[in-house]
Amino acid sequence: MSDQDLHRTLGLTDHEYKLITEQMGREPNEVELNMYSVMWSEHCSYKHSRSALKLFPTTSPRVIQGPGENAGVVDIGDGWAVVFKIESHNHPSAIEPHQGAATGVGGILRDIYTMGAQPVAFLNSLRFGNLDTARGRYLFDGVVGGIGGYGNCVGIPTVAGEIYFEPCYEGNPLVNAMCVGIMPADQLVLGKASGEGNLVVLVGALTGRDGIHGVTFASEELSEESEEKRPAVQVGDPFTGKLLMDATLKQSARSW
Amino acid sequence: MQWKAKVEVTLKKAVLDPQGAAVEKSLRALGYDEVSEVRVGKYIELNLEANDREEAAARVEDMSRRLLSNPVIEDYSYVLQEAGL
Amino acid sequence: MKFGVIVFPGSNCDLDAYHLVRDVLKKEVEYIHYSEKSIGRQDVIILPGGFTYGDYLRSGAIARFSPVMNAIAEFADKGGPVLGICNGFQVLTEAGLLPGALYRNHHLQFRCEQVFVRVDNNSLPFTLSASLGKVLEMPVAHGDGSYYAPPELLEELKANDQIVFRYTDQNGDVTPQANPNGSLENIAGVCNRVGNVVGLMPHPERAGEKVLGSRHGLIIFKSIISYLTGREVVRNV
Repeated sequence: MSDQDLHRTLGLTDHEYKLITEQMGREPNEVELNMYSVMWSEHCSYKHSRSALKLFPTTSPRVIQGPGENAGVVDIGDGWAVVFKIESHNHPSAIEPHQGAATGVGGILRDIYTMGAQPVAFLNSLRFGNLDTARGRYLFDGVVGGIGGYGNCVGIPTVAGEIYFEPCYEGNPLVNAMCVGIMPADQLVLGKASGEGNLVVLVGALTGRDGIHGVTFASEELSEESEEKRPAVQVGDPFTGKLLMDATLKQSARSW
Repeated sequence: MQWKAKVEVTLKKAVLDPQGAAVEKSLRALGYDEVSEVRVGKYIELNLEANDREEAAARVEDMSRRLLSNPVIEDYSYVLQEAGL
Repeated sequence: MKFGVIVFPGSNCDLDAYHLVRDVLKKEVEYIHYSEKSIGRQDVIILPGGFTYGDYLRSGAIARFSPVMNAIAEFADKGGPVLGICNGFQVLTEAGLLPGALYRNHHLQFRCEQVFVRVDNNSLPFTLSASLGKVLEMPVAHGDGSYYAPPELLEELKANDQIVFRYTDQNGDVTPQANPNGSLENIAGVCNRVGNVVGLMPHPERAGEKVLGSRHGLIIFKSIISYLTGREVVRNV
């Protein structure tokens, strides 16, 4: 397979491939190409929404951390900060609604506690087609079950949300998961490291082949062929998710 | 010797099975009017090392009673075969 | 007087139980890790709510084999007070320290809501400060809270006064609408024969402060404090 075809199977357009070669000053190797495919996927970069997202304000005296980290951080006074983020998990939920929604919750949870914040609430913003079709009810039951199943199991309550039913969402439900956490403002943990010779430790729940290239999948158009892609939707493990959260918070949080 | 055990765990007949009831309703709604008495249980597959069938069976019974099933509300049954067959 | 709160992998209401005892009741409390082979000098043990081991296989089925459960069984055997809340209740039934079993809610939903329970046995260390028939408002949050006991066991429980709490309406009447999970005869909590081990599905530790909507859960903790204080007095005489 030539590189021409490879970048397309990885979800990159010809134009994007050209940008990459221009940026690097050469052809990317396979690892580099896969990295670009993941980082420039719709899920990771929200490229289709960038022009709209640019319209939101991101700075103020109360903003401790704006875009660029795992989540946003706002000073709420008395030395406390609230940490929160909302993220979409639409495509996985359209193919495998239960696991797609569950892992959406798991992912957003991680974005909050990795900043050092104790998660205290989940919220969600959902859009579905009408419930008068079997498929509509299948997607709805799966997503709601996935959100509840994961959220309840990790012990963080799902406290609010919004839901709308419109025909335009029939083939493509919208599943947005939000998590809110609190912490002392001066104990924020950022995704940065410096120096040489540091030890890198990779920690996480098991990922089978079921999770590989999941984000790339999010960038592609949904079709009947997508059904065959079911293995690319990761299976959630909320029990390990809970242990991971506890261990991470124990590492980063001091005595509060 | 390597053995493969296939264990089925079901709710006791006297216990109301809400999942079974829900599945039965769904099947009928899909047009399968001929269906009745649906029960939903668990299927557990495991490999084990044992000298002979008797030993393997005894171990599987033990596991089923202690962990795989809750004897207050569940029954279990199993099938044992030589692994690799 | 020392409370011990057991923490299993996946427990999540340990924080609430600890906070209630330390900050609201102002009593000494310690977390006890599930891997501990002894529970130290505790006067009362709480098995909190949560999703131990993800509720994988069955709620509480795996946690019951934790090393600490042997020490808890010994403690209970000697008459030590043990309170199992929600998942804690499930662990105690799986371990055989309480009779019966809990399984999937009959409507198949996880329900998180306020319920009313009636105190049907007020002679226990955990209920002696409550009047018989008193109605308590507490939250439930579970998907597998339906209580079941085979017919002969159920008769035994009734004969021995082991049904401690029943789901009722605000007036204390047992009705189907008051039952949040399909439990047999609206049973919300039971005790062992001797009465020192109690389990219930609702969360009294989440009904201990006005800001949470109800303070009715306090009576269960105040009862055990009263019981232990009484015992201390007797010991000191």
